Amino acid sequence: MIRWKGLLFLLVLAGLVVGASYIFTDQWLENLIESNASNINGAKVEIDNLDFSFAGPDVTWDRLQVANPQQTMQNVIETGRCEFKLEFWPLLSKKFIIENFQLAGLQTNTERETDGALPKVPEAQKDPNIIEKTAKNLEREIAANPNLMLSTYSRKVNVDSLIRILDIQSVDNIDSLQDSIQSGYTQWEQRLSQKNIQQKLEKLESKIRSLQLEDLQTVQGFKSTLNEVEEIQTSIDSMSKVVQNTKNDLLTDLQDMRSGLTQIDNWVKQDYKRAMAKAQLPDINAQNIGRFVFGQKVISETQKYLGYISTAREYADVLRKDDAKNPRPPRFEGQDIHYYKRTAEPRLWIKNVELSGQTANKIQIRGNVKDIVSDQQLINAMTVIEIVGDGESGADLSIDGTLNYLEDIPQEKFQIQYAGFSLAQSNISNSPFLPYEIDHGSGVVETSLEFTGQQVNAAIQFVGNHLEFNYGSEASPANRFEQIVQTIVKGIQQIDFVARIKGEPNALQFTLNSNLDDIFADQLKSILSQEVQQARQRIQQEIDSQVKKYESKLNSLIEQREQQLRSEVEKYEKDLEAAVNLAEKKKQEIENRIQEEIDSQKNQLEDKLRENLDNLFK
Amino acid sequence: MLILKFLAKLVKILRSGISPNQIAGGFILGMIIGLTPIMSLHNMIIFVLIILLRVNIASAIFGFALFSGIAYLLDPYFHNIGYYVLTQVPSLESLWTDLYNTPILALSNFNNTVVMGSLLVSIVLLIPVFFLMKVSIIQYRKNIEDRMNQWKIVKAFKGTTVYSIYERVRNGYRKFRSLGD
Repeated sequence: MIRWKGLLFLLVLAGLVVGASYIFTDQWLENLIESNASNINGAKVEIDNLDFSFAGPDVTWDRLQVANPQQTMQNVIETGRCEFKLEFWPLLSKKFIIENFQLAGLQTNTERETDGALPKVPEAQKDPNIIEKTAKNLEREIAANPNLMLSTYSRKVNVDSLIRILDIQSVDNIDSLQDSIQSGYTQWEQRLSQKNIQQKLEKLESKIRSLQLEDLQTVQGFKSTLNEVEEIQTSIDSMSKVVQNTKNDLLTDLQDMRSGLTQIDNWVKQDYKRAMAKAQLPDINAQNIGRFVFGQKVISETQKYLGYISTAREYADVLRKDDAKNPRPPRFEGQDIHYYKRTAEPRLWIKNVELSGQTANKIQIRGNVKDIVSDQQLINAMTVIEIVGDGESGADLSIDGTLNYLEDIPQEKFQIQYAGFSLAQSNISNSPFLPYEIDHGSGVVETSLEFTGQQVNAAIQFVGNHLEFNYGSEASPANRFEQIVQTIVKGIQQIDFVARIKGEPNALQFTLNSNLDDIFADQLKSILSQEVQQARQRIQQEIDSQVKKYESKLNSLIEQREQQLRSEVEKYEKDLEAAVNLAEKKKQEIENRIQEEIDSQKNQLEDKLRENLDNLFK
Repeated sequence: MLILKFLAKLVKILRSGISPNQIAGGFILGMIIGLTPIMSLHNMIIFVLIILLRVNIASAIFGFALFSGIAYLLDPYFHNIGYYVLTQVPSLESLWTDLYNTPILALSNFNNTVVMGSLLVSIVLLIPVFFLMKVSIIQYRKNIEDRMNQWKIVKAFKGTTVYSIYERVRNGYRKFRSLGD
């Protein structure tokens, strides 16, 4: 049943395999780690002299380089000798548990000898995650910086040439208004003359005067004359109504025409505004110069940290259970399904990383990173980062962070303090407001960064003390703006700013407040304000003087024509009143005459009766 | 040309004079390796069994070659079967969880959909293929072999120098093997 030669063959084969693994495992493992890590990083990861020992099993290497995917001739990190021991039994369950990882000689941003780029493979388009969206939207925030119109500071204000090209539209507007008012007055004159009020009144008066009472003999005659007078009175009444209505309409129209004058002030204001825009006089208010000066740098640094957090969150997601069916896995590869037991160990768990090294700024760092794990819920602990460092010049660095993926909502928190570092030979801004390199000075940076789900809350505080700037070898500034900036910067010994980033990626608030805002505003005000103020005044005076001429001409026209029309209407009123009085007088006269006539006839009748009576008794 | 080679290999095995059980046994072990992804823990065991047990190695190789081609075509179905068994059967979830967290068994890649699917299929096919193969060998030897020897092309081939050299080598090899046994 058993092929004994086969057993011998198997023993020989096993011996060869064991021998080969002693010889080739190191190289094979090195290639495997380099390949997988490079795919994760997006750029080359290279290990020098990896040594795997079956005894521990232990792994050591002499050097690790992790290339920067954005700058492939630079390493993000480089380490010296590293060693760690893998726990044996979990390996048989494909679990990598490392008790203590010694990482020495850590350096950041080191130069590479060869290009760390990987061969280009077309990547599947993937949606940016929340942190990548935040980084992108921060770029938009800084692109929306107000244009501080720096060119306006670089030249003196030439008011004379500006006045020559002033485009004062108020004058034309006043002319047009005048024409319109003139035509209004002309229309009224025509209207009044068309009504013929004067002629009608004269006619009525002459009619009244033509009534001669001496020619009347009888009461009847007087009564008919009285009727005539009453008719005339009725006509006078209706004329009076016409005159009243006409007067009301006139007054209303005059009011409307006058109201056009109130537009003149607005026209003048617009002319002034146009002139200011043409002059481009600097607006000397605190315009958040600090944001303009520091915004780009703050956002670049923040984006860098966001990049690290994005990677951490991405791979925390990848290492977690994901059993959604892959519909078309590659041939013969299938899909791995993972099963999690609450009491089981995670697939990857580095319990403690002891690191030491130095940063690009020669700060010697040391610290621990605890619990780098594929699934924090299995160990019920979050990843904790504690790093401290100190530099030769007395600089202190401390980085404390936590990556918390225990709950459904992931959370990352970092507190970074970097104090006492030298600012010598550094540019803290590339903006034209602060283009100078620093000769001496020290800085303090405190950063807190918190990412909870989609919410970001970051604050970055910087203080630069005892600052002295290097203004370069040129004798004098190239233009007036540089001269002004140099004057202001010479007086600056401390610069501070506080930047805050808050909100969700699609509704991000970025604010940056700096003492430079007030320093520049105050200094610019004192340097430029007198000049600017004089320029403003001259422009205002020029506009006012030109407009005033036309405005006063218009006002006197209005006064004159209004007066004319009012006088005419008043004359009509007077004539009306006279006509009314005349008619009334005539009426009274007639009534008196009627009464006299009646009395006379009554007396005559009485006398006749008396006489007749006397005759009766003779 | 490849098909002719294949057929020649098959005929050679069938006419080898080895017992049908040995041929069929080797064939099904080769089938398992052919159907499942080759770098799996169970295939190491199968490989050891092929070496240790008195099964026909040539038929194992033949079975591996034949079913590798079939596995390529059936890979998507193995993935579907494996995914169903691993995720859609709640009563098995605790078993898989325990196996996943058990040393050595976790190395078997049983939690891979293609491994699981193909292994299940090969287990199901084990007995039927064994008996089918055995019956085929017996029938070939009983009914077909003599008739084939009468074919003109076979007769012509046996008259060639190549065949005579082959026969000498084969007889010599058999003598050598019999010495070892």
